[in-house]
Amino acid sequence: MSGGRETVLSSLRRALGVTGDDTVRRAGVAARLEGAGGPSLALGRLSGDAAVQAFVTRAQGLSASVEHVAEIEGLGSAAARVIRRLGLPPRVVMASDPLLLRGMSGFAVQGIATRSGAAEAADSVGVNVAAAAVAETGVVMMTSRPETPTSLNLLPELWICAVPRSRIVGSYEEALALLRRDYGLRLPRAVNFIGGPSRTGDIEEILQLGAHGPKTVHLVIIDAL
Amino acid sequence: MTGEVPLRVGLFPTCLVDLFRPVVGFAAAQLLTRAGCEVSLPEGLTCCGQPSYNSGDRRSAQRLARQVISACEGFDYIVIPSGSCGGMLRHHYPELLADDALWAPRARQLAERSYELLSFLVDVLKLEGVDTAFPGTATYHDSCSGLRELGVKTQPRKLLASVEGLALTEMPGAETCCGFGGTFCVKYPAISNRMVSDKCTEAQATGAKLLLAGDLGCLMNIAGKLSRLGSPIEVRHVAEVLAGRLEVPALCGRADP
Amino acid sequence: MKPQSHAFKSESAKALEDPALQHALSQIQGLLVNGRRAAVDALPEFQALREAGRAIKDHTLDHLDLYLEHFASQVEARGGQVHFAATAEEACAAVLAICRDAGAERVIKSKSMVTEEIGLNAALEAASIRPVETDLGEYIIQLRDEPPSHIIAPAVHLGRRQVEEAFRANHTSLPVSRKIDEPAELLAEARHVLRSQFVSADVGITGANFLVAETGSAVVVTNEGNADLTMTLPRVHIVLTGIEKVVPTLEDALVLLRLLVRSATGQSATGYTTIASGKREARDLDGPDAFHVVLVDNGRSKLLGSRNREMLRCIRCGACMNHCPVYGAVGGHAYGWVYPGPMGAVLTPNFVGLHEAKDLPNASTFCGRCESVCPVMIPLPKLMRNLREEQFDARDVARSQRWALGLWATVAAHPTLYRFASRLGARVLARLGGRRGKLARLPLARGWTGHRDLPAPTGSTFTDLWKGGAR
Repeated sequence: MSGGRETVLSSLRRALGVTGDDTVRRAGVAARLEGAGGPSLALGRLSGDAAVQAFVTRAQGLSASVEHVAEIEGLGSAAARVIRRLGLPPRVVMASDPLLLRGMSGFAVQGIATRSGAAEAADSVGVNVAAAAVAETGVVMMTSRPETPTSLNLLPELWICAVPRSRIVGSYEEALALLRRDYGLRLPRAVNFIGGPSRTGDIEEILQLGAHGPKTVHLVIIDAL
Repeated sequence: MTGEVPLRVGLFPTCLVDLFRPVVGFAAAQLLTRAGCEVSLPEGLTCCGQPSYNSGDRRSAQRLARQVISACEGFDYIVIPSGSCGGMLRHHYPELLADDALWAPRARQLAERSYELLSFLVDVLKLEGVDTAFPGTATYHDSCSGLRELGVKTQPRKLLASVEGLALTEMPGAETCCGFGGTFCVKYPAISNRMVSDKCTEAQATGAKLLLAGDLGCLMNIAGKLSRLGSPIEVRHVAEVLAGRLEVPALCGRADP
Repeated sequence: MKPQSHAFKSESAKALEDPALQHALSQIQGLLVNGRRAAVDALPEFQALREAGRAIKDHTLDHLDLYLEHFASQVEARGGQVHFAATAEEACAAVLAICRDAGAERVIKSKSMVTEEIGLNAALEAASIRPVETDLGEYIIQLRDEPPSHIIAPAVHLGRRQVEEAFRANHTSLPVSRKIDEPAELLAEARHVLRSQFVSADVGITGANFLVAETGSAVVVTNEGNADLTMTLPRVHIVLTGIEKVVPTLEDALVLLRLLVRSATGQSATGYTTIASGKREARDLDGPDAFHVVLVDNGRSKLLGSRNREMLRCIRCGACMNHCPVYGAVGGHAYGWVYPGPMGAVLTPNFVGLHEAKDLPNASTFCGRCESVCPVMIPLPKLMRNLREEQFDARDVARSQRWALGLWATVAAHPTLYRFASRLGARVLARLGGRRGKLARLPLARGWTGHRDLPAPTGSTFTDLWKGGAR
């Protein structure tokens, strides 16, 4: 398909009236790739308690439920309460992130069976940990590392996501800065910003939760982390 | 403005006012005069060229633009009782003649001196109110070009608020197009009819006995529909009420003899 | 997709008489217009964002060749493949070749207007591959074998009864006795059927809202999460989108994203916003084994070189149609091709030819509401006017109209003649109006008097009265 490439690029150059040397244009592009973006939003200029508070309110606004636990060990009992409330089988598939592994004992205490790995269609509860959470809108940022597979966030009908308090940032820009710090320009295969349960308005413009992904999203903020 | 040299204002009546409803021109002139302006009618004005411009006939539009520019030189301001014709002079002439070395500067100069009537009265002359009365409720339709090209929104309302006895009841869709659109209404009559019908429904729902706007094209469209529907709502150009020039029957709504 | 834009007038007449459609249209305009209003009011920086968004798009378009090169090199650096397609046919062929190489039988898609534009589904079906749409609205209209009527709410013209009929006609395993006449039941049925499609598909095709040059990523937003499933579960992920979607950096994409969601649905964030950057990494537990990006020109470079270049800033939010009184009256199908409303009035002529789509740029009152809400400040009325000028210059305008306009312009260019003619007109029309002051019928003006009266002039022109000393 390299023929296609040349055809398209040369018709673009023709349309732009580019002829001959484009050192200057190339320099412009190189410089531009180093920066830009847009105005910062008041919605996201938050830190500390204010950011946490805004994140919680806005996540709830996106129809997620949110609770705080003091330590990662509390995740299991938090999960158990939701699972029981929804009447789901006490089995979860969870990320093998070291943080969650530390919290795994809390699940056993509650009589919840755990499996680590990616989710399958039959799994009804998925547990993962957020790479960051964004106060600006109340979404969590998930990354597709081997320890935190994406399918966990998408297939089960109940999705429980641990949010270490220290990872709650004000703006998307701050979340992107974390990505840049950790990965440079080679991002994980998928970075998902997720706000509440999957939803649709495609039947008569009536908002319904639980379209293809989770019907319930429960965010558990780990205050000590 | 007593004691100062009065502003010399050229009134561009617009072709619709000229042909259909001269009283709007007189009302405008009266408002301007009362506010201290010296009003005259530029020689050789016909149409601003909007029908040609919006129909793709750029050359004819340019020709008419040059004619208007020539006619309007020598005034401090040109004032137009219409948002769409005002938009033509303020925004579209400079664009139409941008590539014409001779005319582009003249077009820009005219653009800077041209104002829609209500915006001129309030924004330039800083008029706070008018001294007139009209008993009853009215509703106000925001004509599209005036609203979106010239930012005419608060100015008519500010002046109407000073009319003794007049109460304004807003339509929720006051900013929605009435379906006139110049040649649009005859090229797409069924769609235009839907739009103007919706506008009439909203106007009737306000319970107002009078509908006002700042553009005769929209007014004739809405009045024509209300008349066809047999509605009692009267329709007038806002300048008629502000100037107290009600001697000519409204565009519709008068009892059929 | 074969354009039907030439039938705009007859299709819009039908639409105006369709009560179900009219109801749906009044809903969407209310919901989305009010939603956008609230979202914009909640963001004091909205205008600054619009200006930043416009600047990002303009800069990128000025360097589009270079950003695409950079994007492609970044995708390739991590093992993805990039296919440039000059035409719709080339784009379909590229997708077919990928499917064939992967031995794919089952293809799922998340909503992509570019795939509608290039007729991808028909091309796949011709090669015996049945693509399944996974966006609920898009799935419904696929079952009904009709095109979308709105770019973000493709099934907005339908009611629950029609959705139920579509499911009953197509879901063979759905028991007749099962009740599915409530939206929640319809959704449950769709979720059930589509879940099996997700887990068994070989290839997943998504569009992209933005392409990020610096990282070689595609940014995709949905509310249903269907794009994420589409790009996570199948073995192959194909991103198919237009070449104008590229932006320099992640932060640039963020600016446009903030504009997009608010302008489209009034949300501050969609349910899912995904940055997809390639195939699965060595130790990943899920994700596709192969990642392809098909970059479609199909007339975009032509648009770039035209007077209407600004149209390429479009981020496909649909705000222009949500706010358009003409779209609100006739809906999306009347426009006869993929992109309805004001955006379609500019895009469709570029893609299918101005003659085929000749009504589209004319079917606007130039009320300017589209431009006033456009998140990237595209001067849509101006672009439609440019197309009208092109039509006029190509003499593709009805002769009667050309004649009438020419006559008007000629008379208006001669003030003395004009004064005479308007004096005569004022007098004659006033007399015809009689005591009632209105005309219910007027020869040559049926377009007007068919639906409304013509208020009659009062008898003399303003100019004559003024010169006669009246004040």
